[in-house]
Amino acid sequence: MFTRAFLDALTQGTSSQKARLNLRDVKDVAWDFLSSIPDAPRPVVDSPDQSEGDVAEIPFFPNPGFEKERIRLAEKEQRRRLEEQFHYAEETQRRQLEEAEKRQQLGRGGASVVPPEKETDSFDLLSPQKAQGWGKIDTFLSKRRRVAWICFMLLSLTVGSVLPGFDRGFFSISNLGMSTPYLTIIGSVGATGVGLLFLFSKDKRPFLDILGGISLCGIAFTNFALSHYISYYRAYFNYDSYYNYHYASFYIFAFFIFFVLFSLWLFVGTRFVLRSANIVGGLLLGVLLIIGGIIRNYLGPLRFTQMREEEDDRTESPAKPTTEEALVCARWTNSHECG
Amino acid sequence: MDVKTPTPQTTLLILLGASVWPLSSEFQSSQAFAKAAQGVKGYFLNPRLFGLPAKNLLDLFDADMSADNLDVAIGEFLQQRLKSMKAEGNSARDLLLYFIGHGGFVGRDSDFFLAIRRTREDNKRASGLQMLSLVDRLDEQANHLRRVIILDCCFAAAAYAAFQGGPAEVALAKTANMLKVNQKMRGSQQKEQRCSAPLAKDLRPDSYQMVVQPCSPELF
Repeated sequence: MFTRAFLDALTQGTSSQKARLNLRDVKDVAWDFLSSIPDAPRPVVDSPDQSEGDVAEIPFFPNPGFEKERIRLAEKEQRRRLEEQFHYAEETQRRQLEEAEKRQQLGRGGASVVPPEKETDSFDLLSPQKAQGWGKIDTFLSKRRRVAWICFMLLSLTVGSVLPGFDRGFFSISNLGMSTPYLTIIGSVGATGVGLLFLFSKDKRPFLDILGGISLCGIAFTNFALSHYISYYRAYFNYDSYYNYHYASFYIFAFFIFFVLFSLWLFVGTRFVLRSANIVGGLLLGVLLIIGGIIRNYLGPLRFTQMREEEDDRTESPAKPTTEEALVCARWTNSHECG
Repeated sequence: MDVKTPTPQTTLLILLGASVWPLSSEFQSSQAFAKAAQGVKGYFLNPRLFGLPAKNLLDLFDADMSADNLDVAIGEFLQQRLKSMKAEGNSARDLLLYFIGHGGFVGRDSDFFLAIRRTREDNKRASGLQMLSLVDRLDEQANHLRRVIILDCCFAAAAYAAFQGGPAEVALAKTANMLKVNQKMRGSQQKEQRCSAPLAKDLRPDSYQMVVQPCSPELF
């Protein structure tokens, strides 16, 4: 009988805040069990030698009730918080209804009440450790989400579609040898579309993240691979004309501008894919980017240009026109003043 | 002195007692004792509960051994485990001795003894496990450990008539008295030793804890 009560006490523990129980605690709990039995003998604890302290006070046995109590308190706290949030939402809604009624009474309209949109973002729940690195960027972007997306779309449209049409110096770019950069224009429109998609989507859906992210990555990488926006050969080798040298520096400037734009698309696209994709998805994206980079290096327009240079007998004058018209002009006139 | 919390790795458990007494009709046999012993063993060995390593347990419950053999087994277990645990870096700190079964008193001085499986009705002093002998053994080999003795004893009904205060109180008083006497004797021995050799700084207190509980086995 005693051993059974003793084991019950040890396996059930007490709801006290003690992580471990001493022998007196166990004896008391055991007696709680035994006391319900008629004529149950009472256990006795004695410490014959207490010259160096009482062994009965040493926390000897783990208290299973402590963990249960801890979980119970945590659940209680969670319930309290939820109730607080619920009451807060109720109170806010009540106030808004009151204000709407007042406005109606004053004849200023506003029958429907639209509660202010709250930026509910999962980043608010980030732990302090995750608030570093990506977390800081996420926190910043989630706070200024709308502004960030509008800036992104404006930048994409302006630099990718509008500016190349105005000035052929600073924003000169060609795709696949074509003077009109169709890929960049389509890409910038596509990036704007993705931006609109994210701007107006209220919930963060993994499917949307991955789809939008891959679209941006694809746009960025296509432009990286197939654009021909730099003519650094002129800048380095063609010193016979101040005009050409000066003109070439514009191309270098254009390179940086479009490099930044395409990098931004790649960066944003990668960020959204990796946010929702699992490890396999992330690795797949990385592998695709590497393969694309290799293809671009060996089969891309840069390589074609180099091959054309090699086929051209005028290698001593490496200045190369960047448009088809200039190429035709150069070949017909046998002059590098074209373009 | 800082008190180190007991851990499963630094604790030793000796389980003693019996559920049947074939050589004594005075002690009522019951499977409840065996179940209780099984429960104790299960609790201490369960990793989710106490988590005692199996090698730190000496199970002598229902062992068909004489009192002398039991004493030898306990001595060997303590010697071997204390040495091994020290070598492993987990020096033993606590010793639990749990007895389940019958207890009784014998002789003119009403010496307290624990009824083991081999206890004979005609000579309980010789065949039973004398508490004084057990205390001597623990003092001999585990005097640097914190010792907890838990006695879940059922006394013969006759014992109630023999003592005014009831057998549990008497058993407790007698055992406590034995321990105190031993403490005094050992204290004087240690004083003598201190004259010749310095005392180890980490020597822990010699302490006993005891729970004595009379029970009715059929209720378990």
